[in-house]
Amino acid sequence: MTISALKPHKEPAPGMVEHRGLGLWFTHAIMIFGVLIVFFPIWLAFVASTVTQPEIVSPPMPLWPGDHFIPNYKKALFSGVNVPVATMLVNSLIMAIGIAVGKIVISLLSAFAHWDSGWQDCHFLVVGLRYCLLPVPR
Amino acid sequence: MEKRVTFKGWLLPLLLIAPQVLVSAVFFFYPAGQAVWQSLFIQDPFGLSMQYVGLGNFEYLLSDPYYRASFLTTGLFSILVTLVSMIPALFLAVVADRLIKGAGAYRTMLIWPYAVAPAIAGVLWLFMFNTRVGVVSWYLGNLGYDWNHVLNGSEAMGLVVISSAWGRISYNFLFFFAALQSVPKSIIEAAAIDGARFWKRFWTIVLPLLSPTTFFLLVVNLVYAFFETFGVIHTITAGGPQQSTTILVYKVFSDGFVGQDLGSSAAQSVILLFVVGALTVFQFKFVERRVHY
Amino acid sequence: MKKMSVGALAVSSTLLSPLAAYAETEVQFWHAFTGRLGELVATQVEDFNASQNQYTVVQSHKGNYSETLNAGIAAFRASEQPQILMVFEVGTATMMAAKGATRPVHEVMAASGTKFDQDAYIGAVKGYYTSTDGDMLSLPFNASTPVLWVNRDAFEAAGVDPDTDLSTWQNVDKTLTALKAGGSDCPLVTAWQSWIHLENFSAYHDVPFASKDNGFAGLDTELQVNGEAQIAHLNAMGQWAEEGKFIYTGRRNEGGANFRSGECALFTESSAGYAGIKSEAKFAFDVRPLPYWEGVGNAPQNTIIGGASLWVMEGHEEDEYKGAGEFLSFLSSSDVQAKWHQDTGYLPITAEASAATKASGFYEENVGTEVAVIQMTAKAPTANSNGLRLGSFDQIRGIIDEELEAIWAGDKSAQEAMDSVVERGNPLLRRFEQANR
Repeated sequence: MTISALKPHKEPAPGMVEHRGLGLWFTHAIMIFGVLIVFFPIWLAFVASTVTQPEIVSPPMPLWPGDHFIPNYKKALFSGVNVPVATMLVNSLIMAIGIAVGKIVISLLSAFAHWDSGWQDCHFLVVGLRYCLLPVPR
Repeated sequence: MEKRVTFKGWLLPLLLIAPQVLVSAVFFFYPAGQAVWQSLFIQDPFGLSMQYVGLGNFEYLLSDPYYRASFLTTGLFSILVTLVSMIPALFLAVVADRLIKGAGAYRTMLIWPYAVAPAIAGVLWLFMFNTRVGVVSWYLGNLGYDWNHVLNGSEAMGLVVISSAWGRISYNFLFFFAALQSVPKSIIEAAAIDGARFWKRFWTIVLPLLSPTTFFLLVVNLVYAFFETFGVIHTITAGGPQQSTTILVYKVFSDGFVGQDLGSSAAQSVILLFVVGALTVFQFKFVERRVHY
Repeated sequence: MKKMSVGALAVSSTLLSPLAAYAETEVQFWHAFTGRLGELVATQVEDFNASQNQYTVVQSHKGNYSETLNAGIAAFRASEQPQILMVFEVGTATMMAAKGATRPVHEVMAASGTKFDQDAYIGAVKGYYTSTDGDMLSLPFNASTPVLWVNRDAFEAAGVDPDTDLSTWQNVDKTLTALKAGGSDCPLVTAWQSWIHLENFSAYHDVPFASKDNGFAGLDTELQVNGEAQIAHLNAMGQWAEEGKFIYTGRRNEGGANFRSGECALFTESSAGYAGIKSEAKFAFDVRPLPYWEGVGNAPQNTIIGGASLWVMEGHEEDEYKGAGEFLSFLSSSDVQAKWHQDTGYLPITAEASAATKASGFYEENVGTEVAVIQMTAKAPTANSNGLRLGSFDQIRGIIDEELEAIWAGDKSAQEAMDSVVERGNPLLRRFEQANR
């Protein structure tokens, strides 16, 4: 114990013990590699959105963005396939806000009432049964 | 002194709980009751005639080798999805935890997959592995491996597992990362000073301290794999080839909507109910014991 | 609380919107067409609405064939069914067994006062949708039949004469060998494998697919796909798959992409593939009749149709039925049918439309478009080639697809696979029978 107390004490950065130059570089490299793999499909989708259809269906697909960004996005947002994407985005936004707010409000109310109101057991039973009934398709 | 909320009367708390109970009744209990009722009948799609068969639907299901097989498929699929989504997430979280600079940028890029809806993730991965135009399958072909998930059951399962697990890696990463950040630095430093190397520290200190998070993620990921992966499977394999990717939930849809056999579909839902109940009991009884709070 | 009332407002406004559309008598028409076919249907509806002012037809696209049928069924259970519903041929038995849900088309058209002559409709086309008494229960809308598409450029690239006779599978077998030897990576590809190589195969060779006249004569029918002829054909195809002469790409029309891109030399697919192939293919192509095995059964008999028909649903007012009848009569009129046939490659449903197309010289200008018509009408249908009327057939097709995939993957022999189809499919037929007693 006393010997370790005599070791020169450099304050380690949070989360970073055994800090070494080469180790840091290596850590970054691993991280970059992992992130690239996970991010790859999204990158591919982005690339596909910037090239033309014939380029996509003749393998191999290009791995770097092309030059059709503006025409493709314009077409998607304002004409779409059946419905313009812009309309769908607005619809999704309305729905999402409505659902999120509704869920939070209801749960907030009932959670507030959960404690020491005499209705705890009934409430717990209801929510517990709901959890069990998840598999039933609605 | 504990601060608690106490209610004087009983009416106010009842009113506060009422919306929750109402929503549960209309959207959960009523359809569930309907499912139980419908599972006792064979009916035509239009609802014009119903024949009471008691447990006949259940007999028919349990004697169908494909239905029994889908239990195994579901089990295998759920375990694989959980492993494939949790282990890389833990790995990335540990690596990210060791960095200060750039952690923010990495985290942002890692979150994006979670924002992709499961069905769309399915389309994305199908696009990459498409037997004709897929980028990955094309390069695999160049390396000499003929990828064909349309005919090969294991490849189909692999593709479906990766597509389902991919978006969850982000979700799990966030939780693991937050949990790692909350591990007290003093303990780590003390162990380091005492001479413990990284792996020993990880196994004996960090992992046990992570166990509440791990347990939580285990439960959440299993539920996800069981019930919310329907969209992915439908987009990629439609349960094939030869039903090797037909999980229980997919069969409920396939028999109910495609086959218009509502009795069998309802019976499957009832069976799933019991399966989930049993799983929940098992998880909380046995797995939670090992969690260190 | 304010935000919850916004949500409530949104809900109530959607509930009130149908009232805004009330004008003349409305006829709801639900169908499964998107893209160019969807545009053509929309044009037909607009033309009808413009030609008179008593009825307004409102068309809506509900998804693919299965989704459209499900939408119709769900709507019926909620008492919100449309007047006219498009149902694919696979759902015919389901619709026919639901006597309280549908109104036979011949009744609707006769009652609407329009000129309606059942004999004006081509026998092989309407046979699928006609009762055993000879009355039309639904109106055929888009009917096609499988043919053989030939990529002439691919043939030449492999050093095989594109004019080789391909009328028999024996000849096709030799040609596939030659194509493969000449370097072709994809000699044969197919679409809709169950429809073409089992259902149509059985009809074309005059062998039964199921007992009781393929289900026409009763609900107590059983599958008979494990007959000699079918097993022999699937054995041959399995052999080709193993040797790389037949490339399997999917259960539906995935193979279309492979053929249109020029990769494959031969393609068995619906005649309605004409539209896509004509617009996308950058190579010279032929349309030939579907091959048959020489000496097997009664080949070549006639092929059966695939596609969809229009059903009229119960539970509506009399004047709405009149409107529906007028619309269906409009769709059957010679001009509309001829135009539909020429634009899409689907078969004309009346003899008159077929004759009109011939007279206009269309078949000379577009070589090969007459093949499908001839293939279907050259011989009068037998009990085995009228079509299929089997319950739960979408599911049974799924089973067939799975077992065929097992053959292509080399996991099962054709005999094992077809025996399995019979074993797994018959319980479904029994359940359908029980549900519709």
